[in-house]
Amino acid sequence: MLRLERFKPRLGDGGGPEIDLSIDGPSLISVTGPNGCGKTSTLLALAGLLPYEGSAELMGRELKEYEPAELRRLVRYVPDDPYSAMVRDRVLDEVYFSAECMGLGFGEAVSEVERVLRHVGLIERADDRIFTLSGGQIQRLALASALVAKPKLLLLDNSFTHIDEALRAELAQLLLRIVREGTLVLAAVSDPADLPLEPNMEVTLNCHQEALSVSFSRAALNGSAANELVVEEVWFGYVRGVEFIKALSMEAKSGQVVALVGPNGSGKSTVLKLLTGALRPRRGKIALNGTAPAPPRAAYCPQNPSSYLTERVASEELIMARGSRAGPIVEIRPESLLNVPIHRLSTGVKRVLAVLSSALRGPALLALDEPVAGLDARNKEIMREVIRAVAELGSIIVIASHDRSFVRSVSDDVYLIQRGSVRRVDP
Amino acid sequence: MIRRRSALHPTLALVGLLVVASAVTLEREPTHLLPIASFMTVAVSLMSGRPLEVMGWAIRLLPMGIGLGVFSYLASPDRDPDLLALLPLRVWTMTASALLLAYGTDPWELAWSLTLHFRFPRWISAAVAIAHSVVLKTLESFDELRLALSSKGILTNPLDYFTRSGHLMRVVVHGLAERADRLSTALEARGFDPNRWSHLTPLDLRFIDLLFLLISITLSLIPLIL
Repeated sequence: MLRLERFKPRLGDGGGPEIDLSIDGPSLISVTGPNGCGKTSTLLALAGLLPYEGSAELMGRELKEYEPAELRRLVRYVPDDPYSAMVRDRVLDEVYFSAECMGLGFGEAVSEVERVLRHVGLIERADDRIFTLSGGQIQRLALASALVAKPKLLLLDNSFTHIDEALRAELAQLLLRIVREGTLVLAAVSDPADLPLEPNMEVTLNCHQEALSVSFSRAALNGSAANELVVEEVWFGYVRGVEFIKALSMEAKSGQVVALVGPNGSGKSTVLKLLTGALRPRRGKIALNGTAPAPPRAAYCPQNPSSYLTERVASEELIMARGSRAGPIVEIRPESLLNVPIHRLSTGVKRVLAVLSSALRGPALLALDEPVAGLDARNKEIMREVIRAVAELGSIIVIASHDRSFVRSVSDDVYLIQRGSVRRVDP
Repeated sequence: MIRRRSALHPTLALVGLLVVASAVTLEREPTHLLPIASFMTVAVSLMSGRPLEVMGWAIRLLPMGIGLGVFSYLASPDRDPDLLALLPLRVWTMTASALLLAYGTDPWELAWSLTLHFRFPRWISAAVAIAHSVVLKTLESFDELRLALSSKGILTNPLDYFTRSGHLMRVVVHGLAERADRLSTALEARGFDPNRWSHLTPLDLRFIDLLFLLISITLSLIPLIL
């Protein structure tokens, strides 16, 4: 079905490693490897969106020999962060757009759209606006848009990073059904643990890049003052009369790492925004060292690190963050990364850099939204070390994450948010 | 299951609004403009279902219209007092027309009607519709951007939008470039080709479309009749 020989996507200076692979029938294959090793480029080359070296045969024919329209029917690519690539505002229209792109006639398009929406369990939401869907439903919608072509090869790019446990189980069932119906699925994941079910085969991309490492010079920071966060009976809602967060109470002191967990759309990011003063509670009180939280004492590092990094290169970002403090505070290896334009860094490195940049400003409270989404195991470990180091310097750290094993490894307290209610649970 | 998304037929809405815009531009009598402005206000309030939001637009834009009116009055040799009312009414009617198009039509159907009935090249219609979705998503992400930058001390007061514009531009421009890049890859992966794009949703005519067109033309004839 798919045969790769010395296959290598051609991208910039070099691309990733060569791949040799032979798969005879429908199955689930995971493509793993460190951040920046070419997982996405591999998928894009297989989708005919990047040139490649070597050979790639699908259904006995070289990919380059297919007409573009024919290849788009056989191979479907679901991007990382599919929401930003959606163009219509309703569920039905988004899938219908895919059918239109394939040039289906009206009747055929309508019946195909209905079929795939039923298949992914979104038929009841067909008329709803896309922004009202949860993260898991958006992933299912992206799959529906891809399945309308009845592809033979489905390429999933980090499709399981923002998914909670319940939705992972749902997606696992869906993936099984897709494979049973005759589709070969190649799923690129930064961490093999992200995949919701055991793959039939694992392809690991190894590249010879020097691993990222970060070390702190703690003496240079001299620690921070003692900090205290007190949250008492906080209620909040975006719409009058509808309470989204109900009776949130929590406490944290300097050096503590508090994690917020819960299903997609449960309000974790909302709580982070309340704790940093970006949103004001309807009722109740939030006090950071006795007063209402506000930047820069309470800092917020968003899910998308590109929204936070304002300088040209990493070295400038760190110099700006440390302000007038003398001497080296943080060392990053390999040093060459410090002079690479920020927009060219991998997501993993950008995430670590954004957390370092916010931490070096010495906030009393640092709120991190999904700090390890899309990171490989090595970068998750670095993030864990950075968070622990920043906490030891005196900041209170609050993280919102779907990654339960990361949460267990880094946090002192865990709060579960479900249907607006918040309760403390075991880490 | 598949039906027209636009509350108003996009082609008729465009025609109706062109008629209104022409009448508003030519008319010099405020008393003749008043019924058109009132009709557009009622129509856009009903269409959007958000009269307070519409009122908000009026409050934001009317000062500009009043300013223009005062300037024209002072600049005109005969100091015609009608100008003080005429220009605010013109600004508001034009704004209400644009709002009616925004609230009453689906951007993809509006873009498709440009190709279907006005012979616009398909790639222009496609670019209009896609740009609309990019702008909306960019606005959605702007809140998070503002929060992140104020956390960083880059945006602490309104003046920072000017004094820190270099930082802001870098984040916004890179963000837009990243978004455009992702979107173009995703569209290509879906096989999107504006020349093959058909937009098969039926753009059927409804009673309200004809009613809207009839009222628009009738009101626009007032200046001619009077």
